[in-house]
Amino acid sequence: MPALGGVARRATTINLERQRNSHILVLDAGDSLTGDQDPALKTQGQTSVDAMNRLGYDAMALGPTDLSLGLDVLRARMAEARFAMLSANAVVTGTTELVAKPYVVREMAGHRVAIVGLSGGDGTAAIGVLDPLVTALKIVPEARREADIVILLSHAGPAADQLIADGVPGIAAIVSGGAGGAMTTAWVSKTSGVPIYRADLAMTGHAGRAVGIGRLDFDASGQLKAQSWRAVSLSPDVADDRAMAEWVQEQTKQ
Amino acid sequence: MLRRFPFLLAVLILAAGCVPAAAPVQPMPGASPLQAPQPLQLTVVHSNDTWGYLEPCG
Repeated sequence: MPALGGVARRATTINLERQRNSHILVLDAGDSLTGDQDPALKTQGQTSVDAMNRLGYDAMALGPTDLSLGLDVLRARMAEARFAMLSANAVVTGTTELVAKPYVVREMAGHRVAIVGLSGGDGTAAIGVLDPLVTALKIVPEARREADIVILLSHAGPAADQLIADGVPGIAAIVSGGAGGAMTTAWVSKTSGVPIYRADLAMTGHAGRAVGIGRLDFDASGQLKAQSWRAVSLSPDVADDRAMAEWVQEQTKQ
Repeated sequence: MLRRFPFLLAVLILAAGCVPAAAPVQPMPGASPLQAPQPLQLTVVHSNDTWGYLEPCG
């Protein structure tokens, strides 16, 4: 089986989509700072943030492995990131203090687009994770007061994401991560029409092997009129972005 | 005519000083003025669970 993934191929894919459409969001649904290999492990996610800065990410949700870095390391990574690390339901244990921003708002074509982050899992001794559905019911209306389009970036898992898609009004689409398997087609709520996109499932030797590309057509009032989605396997058919490939070489030498 | 009524002239000068002429519109703090909303085709490129991998893996 050919080797899949790599940030040099991801860069090529993202750059191509940027050339096709300037109205683009580059998002990550979590568990992307660290895993089981160096240099991410050794640097506690510093190389991951550097890569995502270079790739031009707009936002990521914090997943369990990201939260497991602990508060001090997470705050250091947030300070380095030129993208937003988001979670509306990760709190400092025993308090209501959020570990990260709950959402960010971007402006596009006269619309305000909110990206709301949700964490999943059980948290750690220092960080608690509140119920994703309860949190979504509270935070989405709040985000809608500042934006006419809301994208949910969720690491809550497929069961929670489907409950949220069915039962929380005001969401245009959910970008999902976490346990539950990769998807080959978008799951669309029969109740609300909200699509859920999930590109990849991490497993040893396969992390970052695919990206998802969604196209969302909104009318002038911010209503979603049509959507399509595909998963793109980052196979050797996708050329390396040269600058990113050189940067990867430097990182892996160290 | 105003020279005959210096009190009226003074009132007009004071009133002019109190009314800001074409004051610039200030955006709300934290918000920027938006253009009129247009239909939007939004591309979302997304990843998940990359574990910070930089290189391809078999």
